[in-house]
Amino acid sequence: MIRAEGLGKKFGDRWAVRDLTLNVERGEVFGFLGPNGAGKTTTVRMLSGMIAPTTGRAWIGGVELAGAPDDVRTRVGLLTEAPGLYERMTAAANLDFHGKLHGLPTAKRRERVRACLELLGLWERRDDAVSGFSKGLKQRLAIARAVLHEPVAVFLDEPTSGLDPEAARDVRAFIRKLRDDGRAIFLCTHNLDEARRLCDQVAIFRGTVHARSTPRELERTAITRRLAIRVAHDPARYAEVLHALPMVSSAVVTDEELVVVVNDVERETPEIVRALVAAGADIQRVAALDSALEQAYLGILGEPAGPSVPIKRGELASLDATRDGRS
Amino acid sequence: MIGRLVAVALKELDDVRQSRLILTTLVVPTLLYILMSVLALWVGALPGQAGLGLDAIERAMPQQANASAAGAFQSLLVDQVLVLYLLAPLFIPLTIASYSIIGEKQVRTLEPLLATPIRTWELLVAKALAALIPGVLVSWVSYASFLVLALIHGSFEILRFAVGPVWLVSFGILSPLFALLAVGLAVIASARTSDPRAAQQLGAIVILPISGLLTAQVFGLIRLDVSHSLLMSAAAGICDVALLWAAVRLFDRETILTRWR
Repeated sequence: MIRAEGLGKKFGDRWAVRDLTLNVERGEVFGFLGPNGAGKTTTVRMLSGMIAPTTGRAWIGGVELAGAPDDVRTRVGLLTEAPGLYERMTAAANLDFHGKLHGLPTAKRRERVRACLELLGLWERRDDAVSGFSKGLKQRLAIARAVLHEPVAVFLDEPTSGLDPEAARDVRAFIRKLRDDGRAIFLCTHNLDEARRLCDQVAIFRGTVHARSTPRELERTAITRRLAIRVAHDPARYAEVLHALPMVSSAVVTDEELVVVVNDVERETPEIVRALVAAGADIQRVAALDSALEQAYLGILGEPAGPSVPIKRGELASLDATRDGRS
Repeated sequence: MIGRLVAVALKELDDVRQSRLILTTLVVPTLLYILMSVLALWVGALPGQAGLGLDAIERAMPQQANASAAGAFQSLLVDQVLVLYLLAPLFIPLTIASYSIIGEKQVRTLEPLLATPIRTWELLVAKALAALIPGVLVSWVSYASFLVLALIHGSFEILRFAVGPVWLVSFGILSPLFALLAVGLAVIASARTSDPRAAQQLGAIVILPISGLLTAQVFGLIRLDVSHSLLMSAAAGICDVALLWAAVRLFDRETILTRWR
């Protein structure tokens, strides 16, 4: 549905995107993960027929981008980073205007405007000016606009950025629905948790694709180092127990939890749990503190993959069992 | 394709309708023009005014040679006033046109707009028309008001003069086509610079020679007749088409999307 071969874009002497090859099928969510300035938006603009690539070829729904960008734009729905809605117009008028630009006949346009507004829970607000909408409502309306003309491919640029948890949850639910409807979804994000929850495939991208796989596969390549353990009573006592274990670099108590730093959470957890149980601990919860996908992402992009939140001595509730010569 | 053009033009006109500031710039000139009409008709009818320089009037306006002295004098005044009405479509649309592309970029609506199948020429023509229409309406409403006032005043000679072919061609064809030149230039500027002030200044360039032409008419240096008006309309029309072609060529989506901040 979305296919690119050797796609590249050069601005002046600088390559913003280089040698991008990908394929997104119907009913698939493709996560495009990368830091700010990685070239994600440039990629979306190329694939949606808004700017011409410098090299390579791309197809949307079987139509080649080169020579038919107008045709490609009829097959693509785009959610830009900012909602970009006409604030003085009502929600329904915004959609109706874009329906006209996509050439939808009047009856079909009315039907689609209603369907999209209902689907995104905006039907009751259809006659309200957009200027009075919250950020979450605007984002929902922008998503409705992106899918109004029933595109085969939907590009979503940071769809949950800046939204409150409830609004973000609604947006994610809608993305799943789009996927279930058989659309190919290209999701640009740097929210790794979101990518893990939504995407069938992810690519880690900075100028070019550094890694591509399913989120699960990428997580397997990552080594997480921090473990949070909640015990029923006296966590400080068990920090000393952990301190005695050779695989433990550090064990501290913070917010009534033991935070343990090891070399590999997946490998070391069983032995740590066994040691705590043997010492009489009632374990209530064990969880990796760092997202495996985040560790994979940082590792692949060459960023330091250590604890993302440094543990400060002043914040400790109990002893710091950091060993000499080990970090 | 016309549907997209009409949709954008109507949306733009709705924006104009909802902006009190822009509406003020439309209503105030219209009221001033109507006031000028009243003054022209009133001053022209004052006793003793009609005899002043009648020979000169006859030389300047041979078509009024058979009119009464008062009628000829009023016609001269009207001649000056109506020329000013023709200027309205030149300067009124400039603010709207110069903001047309930059404005969309500033409120971040341009990218979703360019993500639709709208073609560049459709977008630019729609923006130009939406900028042009309010100014032309001011001009036409002022002209129509003048005709009604002349009728009420009982100045039938003036009325005959004002609905003559020169003025009909000038208001109906020449003035909108001239205005389209200014608007076209402002839209090009709006698509090439990220500063609306610069766009407005560039658009104003085209006003200077045209207003010079009309001022020459006011001072009696030249006289517009039907053939002149039609000839100038044809030239303006050709220039408008050339300007639209240039505007489409100069509209660089990539630069607008990637470089403007």
